[in-house]
Amino acid sequence: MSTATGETKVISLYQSQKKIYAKSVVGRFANLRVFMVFFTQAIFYGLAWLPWNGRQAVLFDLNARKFYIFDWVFWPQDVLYLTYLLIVSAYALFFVTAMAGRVFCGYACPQTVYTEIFMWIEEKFEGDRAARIKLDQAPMSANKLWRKGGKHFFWVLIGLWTGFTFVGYFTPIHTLMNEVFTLATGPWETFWIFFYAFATWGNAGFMREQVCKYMCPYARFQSVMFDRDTMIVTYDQARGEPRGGRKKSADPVALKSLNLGSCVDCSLCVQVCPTGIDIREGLQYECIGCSACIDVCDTVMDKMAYPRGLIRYSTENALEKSWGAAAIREHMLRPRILIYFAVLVALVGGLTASLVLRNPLKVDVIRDQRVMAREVEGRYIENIYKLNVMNTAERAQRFVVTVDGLPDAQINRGGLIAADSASTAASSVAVRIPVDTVKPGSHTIHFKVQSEQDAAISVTEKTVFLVPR
Amino acid sequence: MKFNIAMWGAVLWPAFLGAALADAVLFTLIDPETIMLFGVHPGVSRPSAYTVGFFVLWIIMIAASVTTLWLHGNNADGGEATHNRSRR
Repeated sequence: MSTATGETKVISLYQSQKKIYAKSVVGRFANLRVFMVFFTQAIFYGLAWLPWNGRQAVLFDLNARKFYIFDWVFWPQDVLYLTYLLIVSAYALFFVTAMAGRVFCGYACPQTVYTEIFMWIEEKFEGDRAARIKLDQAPMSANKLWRKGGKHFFWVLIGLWTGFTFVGYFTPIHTLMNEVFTLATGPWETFWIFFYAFATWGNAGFMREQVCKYMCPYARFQSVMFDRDTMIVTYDQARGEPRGGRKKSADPVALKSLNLGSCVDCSLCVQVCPTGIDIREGLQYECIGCSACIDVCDTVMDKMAYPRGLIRYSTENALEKSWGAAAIREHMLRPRILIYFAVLVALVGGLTASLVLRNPLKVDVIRDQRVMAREVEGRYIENIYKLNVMNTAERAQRFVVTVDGLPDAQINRGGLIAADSASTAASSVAVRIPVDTVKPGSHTIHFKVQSEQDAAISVTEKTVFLVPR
Repeated sequence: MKFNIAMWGAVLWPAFLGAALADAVLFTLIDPETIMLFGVHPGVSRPSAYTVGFFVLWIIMIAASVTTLWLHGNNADGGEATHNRSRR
């Protein structure tokens, strides 16, 4: 909205946004982040290509409604595992956040990781912070076009590769690659590749810290998980203030007499901040814990020959009470952390046990509604059942059906069911008992379905046998 | 009330997550190939059902979020919503 003075002003419930030109930074934490970028992306881009049991190791085959994760094949019936996994992830996040703050945000969140990759490309084409600001203000020229165009070319390329990989987790990636090269991708594959590519390009190229500040729910509820013993990026106010410029030759020991703290007020910590905050104002919800300010402040402290750590990982309690590293570690193991940890261990243990003990056979027994109990050959009462067998193992199996519960019950036909690897099979099973051996009414019987190859794989299902009057 | 990009983000993203979750739950429980629409099988493939389902859910959730923001945001204008920059 234009005001009388011609200034552009955005009326917003939030602060108006200005483009943040984050200065790049080198240092311990920056190195850790680069490592995490390679680590997480090696997994994301690489895992889709990993073969396993003659198929893709991790494949969410939506078309066949089967999820393959290494040795496991999950069916829609296994949705409970997904719920379980979400609970475990949530607890892991509580645990890590309560202990170490937003380490996920700073090092492993896809938003951070892709922003890091995109900013690296940006710097290659447009130069450092000052050069980028200048370039953005300059009028369009061949030089600007080449720099902006080159940047976008690689951004789009990475976006498309990311979209392709993403879809490659849902359609076998080798098939998908052939389809891409022959321009034969299905409409939905094409759509999702471009949709995901667009989202990557937009989020990592333009939205960046806006996503963390305005879109991420985690940023808003993190304060619930924080306490005064949580590790956070902190500015040591007692040591830093009063801040101010000084000659480089100023004696670090004689700072008191100059009425100066350790902070030289170089504003580098603000320039490197990807969310554009000033860490010296204390903990703010915008802080994603990336530690860029720690790295850059350490280089300044080194130059000034002051001890490092004016900005450092610490806790609110430690800053107030001037605790050392040992005291911080001691307070790490507080009841809250121990409880989170115990719950997490129990959940992971339960999930592991349940996966290991998972029965690769499921059986569904349905009484045939059309053919009720009937008398056959004048000598038998016959009931028909439909048995649906789900073989979740990755090998073909034959299952033998036996029945018990009634003394002379026997299976007349349908007692052998063959199921292919990771698929279902159905069989109409006819159960007969001699006439007049049991009284009319309904009787409980059990079907036992057992694998021919592996006797340990078996399921017993209960149903009823009807004897008409 | 003015809708700026940040507010659209605040609407689109949670609605996106909600729609993804709802889509996953819905189609885990219901195989789209078994769905009958007005008594006939619509004859759409699973991927198209998942995709269309996702966008339908997303639109519904966006509508709900925008309505909430519109109703609440107007009342809270200059109130709570501007205090999101609270410091700890």
